[in-house]
Amino acid sequence: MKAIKFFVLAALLAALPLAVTADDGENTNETKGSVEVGGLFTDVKDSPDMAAEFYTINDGPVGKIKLSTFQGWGALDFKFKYAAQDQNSGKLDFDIKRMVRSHNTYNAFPHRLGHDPMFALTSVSRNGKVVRNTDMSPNQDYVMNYAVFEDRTELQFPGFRPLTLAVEFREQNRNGHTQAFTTNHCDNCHIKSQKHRRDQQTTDGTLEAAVAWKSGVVKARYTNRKLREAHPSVSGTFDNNLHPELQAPVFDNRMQYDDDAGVVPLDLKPEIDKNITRLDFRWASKNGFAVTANGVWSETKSRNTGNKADYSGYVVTAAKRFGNNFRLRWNGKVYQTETNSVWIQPIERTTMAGPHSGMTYRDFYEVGFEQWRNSALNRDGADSKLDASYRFGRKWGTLRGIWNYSVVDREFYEVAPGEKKTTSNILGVTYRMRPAKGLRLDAEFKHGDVNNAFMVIDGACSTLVSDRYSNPWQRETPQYDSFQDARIAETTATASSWNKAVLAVGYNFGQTTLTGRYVYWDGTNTDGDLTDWSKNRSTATITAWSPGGANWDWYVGWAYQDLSLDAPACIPVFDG
Amino acid sequence: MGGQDGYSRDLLKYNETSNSILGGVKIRPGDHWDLGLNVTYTASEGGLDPFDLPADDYVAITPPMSYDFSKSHTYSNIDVDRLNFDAMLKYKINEDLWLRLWYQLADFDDKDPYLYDTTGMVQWATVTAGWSF
Repeated sequence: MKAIKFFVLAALLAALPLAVTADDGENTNETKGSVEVGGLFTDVKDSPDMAAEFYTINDGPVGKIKLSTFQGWGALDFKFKYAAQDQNSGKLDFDIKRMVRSHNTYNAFPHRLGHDPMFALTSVSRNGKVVRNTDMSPNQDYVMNYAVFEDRTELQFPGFRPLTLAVEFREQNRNGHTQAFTTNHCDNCHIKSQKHRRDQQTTDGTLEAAVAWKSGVVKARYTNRKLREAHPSVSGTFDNNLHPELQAPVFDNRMQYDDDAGVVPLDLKPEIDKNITRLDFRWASKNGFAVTANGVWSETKSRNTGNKADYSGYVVTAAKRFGNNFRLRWNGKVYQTETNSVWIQPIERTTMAGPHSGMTYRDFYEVGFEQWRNSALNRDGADSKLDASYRFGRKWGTLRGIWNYSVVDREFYEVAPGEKKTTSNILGVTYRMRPAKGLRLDAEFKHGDVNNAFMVIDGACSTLVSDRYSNPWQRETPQYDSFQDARIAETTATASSWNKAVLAVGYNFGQTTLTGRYVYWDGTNTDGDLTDWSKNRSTATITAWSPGGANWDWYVGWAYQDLSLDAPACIPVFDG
Repeated sequence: MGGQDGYSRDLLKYNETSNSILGGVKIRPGDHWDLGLNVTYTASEGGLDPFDLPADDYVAITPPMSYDFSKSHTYSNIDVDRLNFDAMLKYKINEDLWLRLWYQLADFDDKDPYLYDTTGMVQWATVTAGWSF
């Protein structure tokens, strides 16, 4: 609703010149528009969650207004379409003597999120002891209403045309309810769900200045972003931690929370501030050499914790023509991300009864754990993209070769034993030709190789199998970290080697345009221990379009996709 | 009694296929009439092949196993059809006035529900009168 106010305000500001024009008595060159009003009637059968995932299902009045005018002072183009309170959109463009140019859009629609009844949680449990669930808001519809207003207004002064100043404003609101889940242990694994009212607002403000000359432009911009949540959390209590059979509080020192903590905030959503500074430079010479460069510096800060993530990145692109047929282009990028390390202070509780009575977990097992958490995002990265193309002529087309190289060197996160660096090389060739009138052919082949394309080293398949113990409190009983240390499998969802082939054809006959495109992608990763990952995908599209005749046109199309994915699963089986 | 009593490993094979056909036509049979029709139909299927997670070590020492993985491969099955249809009829009374009827249909058939049955159909009908100036 707030965004609509901005939109109306922008419309009123835009209307001011109209009044000025009327006072000046200038002649209107052209003004036209339309108004359309009526009603929307909807009918819903069963669930609208997928059938109308992003559309209104409300009845009510509808309206559409269009207005455009071109006058001595400038031009204005306004459109607004109201389908329902949760679905409407608008656009307002105006310029005043080319000195002020403004582009504004507004868009609102619902997003149905679905309501998870949580039955699936118990799907593999045979005795009901492993997991159970409670839905505390069983009749709640989970819908988030999305609305975004975007404005960009440019100022250019008659006395100094090379300078363009711009102001941008963006406000995104997401209002509604989401489903909040909490996990309780250890009577059994108890998943609770409740509604979480959300009123989230993301606001961006940008200032930009650009100076252009005949062969280039330099531009600087600064953006400030704020993410705010009016209802950042819900309230709830955790279950009493009890032994599943004995129903006694003998496991308290393994849990951080119990019902004795009382009402605590749950499903906490962060509030974030972000600042982005960007510099752009573009220059082209008369002899076919062009260069662009930019630098981006940003700081993202959580208002809740004070944690910060910094990013800095620099990009250079250079292109040069050699003669009429040969062209060389290179794009290079270096970047760095840095997030502060965090000390996690666990709540170390004592057990009330049983063999661990009066002791914390650390007291009994005499172990301590590293509580510093380092960011996996901390890294230095570099990308290089080189392509060279040769044009044989209009009929025999253009041949292009590609070599893309990238390296990511992480500060903390290992992607192979003792290794924090991932490198990838992509080699490719494309060919485009027009062998006959109306016929266009495109072909592409790429091969990629990635070193250390893993997510977690020793991340699955723990080989440690417990001996038999008379009770789980014995000091010799293997603990969680023992099983963690005995894992042997590298996990991944990324190919270490892949091939991609594309074949496309376009043919015009008569008034009809026929296009076809086939893409084949095949990748594997067997580089790690027990990795055995592979994916294969084929997609095909065929479309035909014809203007038909003066009074009709038509189109038909077909799209096909086939995907196969092989990946190992390792399921640990725990008792307790 | 203890912590981990075993683990199971098997290779999971997932396959997914999707087909879509679409078509549309715009007809202007006379100065007063505009007619537009669009239709899209999509059928998608996906699922895992049956797999075996026997947990031999665990079963050997704990015969009355707490888990039943025999149907796990069916839980991520996808089998959906979707039909979208819209028709627009516009009658121009004169150069500046018109009447418009717009009908839309979205029919989603969830043949293998997972979290819950998302089958549903929504119809929208819009009747409007317009004036241009």
